[in-house]
Amino acid sequence: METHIWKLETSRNRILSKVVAIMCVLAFAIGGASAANADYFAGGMASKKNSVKYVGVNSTYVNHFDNARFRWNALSGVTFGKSNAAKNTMTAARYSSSWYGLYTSKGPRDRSRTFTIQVNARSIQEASGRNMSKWIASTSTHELGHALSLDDNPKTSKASLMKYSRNRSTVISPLPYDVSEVKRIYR
Amino acid sequence: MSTRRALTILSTASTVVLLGAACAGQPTTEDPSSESVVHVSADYPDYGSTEAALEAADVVLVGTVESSRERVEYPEVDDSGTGLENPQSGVDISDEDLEEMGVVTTVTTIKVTEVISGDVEVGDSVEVSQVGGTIDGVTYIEDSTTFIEEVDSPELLLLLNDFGDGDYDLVNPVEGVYEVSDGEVEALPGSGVQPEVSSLEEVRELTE
Repeated sequence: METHIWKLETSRNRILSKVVAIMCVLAFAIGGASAANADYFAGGMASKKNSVKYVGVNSTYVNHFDNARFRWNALSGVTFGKSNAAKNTMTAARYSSSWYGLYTSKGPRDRSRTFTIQVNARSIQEASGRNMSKWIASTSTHELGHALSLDDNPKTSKASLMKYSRNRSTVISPLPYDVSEVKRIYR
Repeated sequence: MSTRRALTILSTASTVVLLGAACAGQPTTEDPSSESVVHVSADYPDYGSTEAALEAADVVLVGTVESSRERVEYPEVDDSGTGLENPQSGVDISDEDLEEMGVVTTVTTIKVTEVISGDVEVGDSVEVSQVGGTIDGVTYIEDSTTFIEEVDSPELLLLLNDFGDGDYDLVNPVEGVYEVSDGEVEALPGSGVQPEVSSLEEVRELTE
């Protein structure tokens, strides 16, 4: 009888130990996902569905901005529409500054927030050589990534459209890491 | 392991799991935007080494801060060039359009005390623009930017792009500005940059 009780006690402890171990692994895993929130950009939009208006650019840049929107719109649930009534704007011009692109968001993170994207054709032309079109594409798509709450230079070893160090001649679309982050943030 | 102890650990682990799940997907940084604070994020060139940044710079100088002011920078707008080079080629721009294109910047005047490379002279005053500043009671903040005038250092080493007409900009906000004290060079605190040089002498050697 004593042996039987001892076996039951041992069996229960083993089960509890396994449950504790599983819970600890789960806690670690979820803790890791939370740590990835360091890549979250608080200046992004509340929704994955937004519209933009293009300001003062020629047909070359209209095409670039259209394509940048389409690259994101290929993701499930993401919509960057185009409307002349939109409060969010995209423009490009020749600025006397080193930056390639700027994203500015105004207002609290709710439906009232608006964003402005500016692309610097001058600095891009001076740095890109024969790849100016690719760099415009990379920059435009990168800036729209901020509207989806993606931060610059995410702390990951994986390739990302949001890294300054990306090859702007080849990385012009959201990469798997960027896609997974958008899914995580807007789930 | 006693049953009671195991249950205690189980309870603690569950709490951690639930807290982790509750936090996942939520912002870990505060929403920085309000009516009076606007958040700006910039895509900058990345050089990856001090040597590459020095090579990219049109002007490398040592100087001291004289003054600073804020302004809205507007782009050059004309009808010249190709459609790719000039986004306004073939486009009529309204005043409203131009207003949308403005960027709030802080312009700091630097008195040059040493020229390491580039077309400036000792004693010149150069104006360096940085994204951000306060205009009409609204503060524009670019995350990676430390305003030059706020750097606590006797002198500064600046790596600048020259855009002509007296317009200079750092090659980027973190690889373009360093503290200088008694000839020693250090990155700005919190910049995350690890310069491969520790003195102006090494900078001079690299730019020869």
